Amino acid sequence: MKDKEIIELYWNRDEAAIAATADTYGSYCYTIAYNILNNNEDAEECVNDTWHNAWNAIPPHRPERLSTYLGKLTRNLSLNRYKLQNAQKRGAGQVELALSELEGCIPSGQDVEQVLDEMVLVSALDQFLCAQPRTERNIFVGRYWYLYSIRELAEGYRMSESKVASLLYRMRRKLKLHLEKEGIFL
Amino acid sequence: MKNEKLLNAMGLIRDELIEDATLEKPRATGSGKHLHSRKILRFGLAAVLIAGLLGGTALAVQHFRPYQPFQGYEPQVGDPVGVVTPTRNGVSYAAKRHNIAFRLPLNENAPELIEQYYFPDMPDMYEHNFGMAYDGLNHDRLLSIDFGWHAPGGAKYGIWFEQESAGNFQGNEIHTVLHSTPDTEPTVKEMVLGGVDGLLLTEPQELKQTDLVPRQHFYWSDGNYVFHMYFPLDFTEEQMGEMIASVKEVEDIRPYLITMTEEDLKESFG
Repeated sequence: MKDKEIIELYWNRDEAAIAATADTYGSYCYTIAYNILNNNEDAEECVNDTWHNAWNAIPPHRPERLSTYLGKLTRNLSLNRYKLQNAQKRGAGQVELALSELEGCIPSGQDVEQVLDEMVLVSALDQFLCAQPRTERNIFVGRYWYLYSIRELAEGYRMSESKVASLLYRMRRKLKLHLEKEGIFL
Repeated sequence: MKNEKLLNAMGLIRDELIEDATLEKPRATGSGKHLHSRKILRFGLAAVLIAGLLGGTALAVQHFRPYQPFQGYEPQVGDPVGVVTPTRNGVSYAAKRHNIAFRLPLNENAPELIEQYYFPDMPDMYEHNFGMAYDGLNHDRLLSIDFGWHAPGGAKYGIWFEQESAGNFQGNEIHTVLHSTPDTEPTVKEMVLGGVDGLLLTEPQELKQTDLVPRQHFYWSDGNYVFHMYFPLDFTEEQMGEMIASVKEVEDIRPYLITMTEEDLKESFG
């Protein structure tokens, strides 16, 4: 079913919308949730929460891209769940690894005090990513948006893991320079 | 935590970036391969066409790539950016304004060294080729190398090695450029500029989406050497003609051509 038709079901308050969404985007959202939570049950619960949130938000919302709208919901829900679960213990999931890697993107030399609006940061990220070659950009987004493991990315892009790691390292270094250049200090 | 802030901000990037990056989408399908083949053929034909027109330079343009980006370089009006020297197996050129001996001068072991130090798994790439550039006045002297490949998903990439100035090697600054969507292929036409017959390649504005600054490239030959100059897109034919006419001898750029040892390379890539 096409996105427009699914959204119309939501707007008509037709519960078939949930089934259609699950049918079309279940696997997509589950992958995102599982990448973050690394647990089947938790991932499935987050996906169900995603459908629930979508049901509550549409209408009045009318997403332009249903896939990424649902993906963002899933990502947020999964990250929140992850934080709750890991408040006491730190696991070895992709979130921890990604967070650890992203330390390298944080500009140093914070002599300029700036209250950072999140949207300024998002805008800088968009700008940075749009300027990158497609494969590099997609690998970066795959790692830090989808939280794919290095191994999954290596398989998906038919590269060695070391190459993906090396590419991400260079990207993080470039991002750090970009953020510094933009005067963004986290 | 600051990195959490960054991770959260990543969650809000543009939809199209997210959509494009999903691993669930099919990549490198059979039909894609045919598309690659057509593109390769098209690029190959362009090279042959140029070789034929320029006469005696088939080898020189064997590895011709239409885009010669200068990351971070802001062209100025009246600025002839680069000139190509003759080569045996490729082309090399120098950029006057930046005092650049353009591309990394390497020795004969360059392909192996690059694979070893930077692209250990290159054979897994869809298709690739090396362009090796020699000093046209001393054919035994390999000046530089560039490298292009077609990656899964329809992209053609080129890398090259850049040196900002003699003695200040920055060979580990590899620039990777996406440049083969239908919207980013150049238009090619025969032109007479500055009293010289040649080919003008005009890069489309869409290249601005990458790190590239779109340019106009003019290629010609005097029968012995291939010359290449390139200009900002807003240069008129008259302006380009004046600049082209001002270029005289290959000797003009020889001071910018340098050499590099294997040890230097190892150090840079190590």
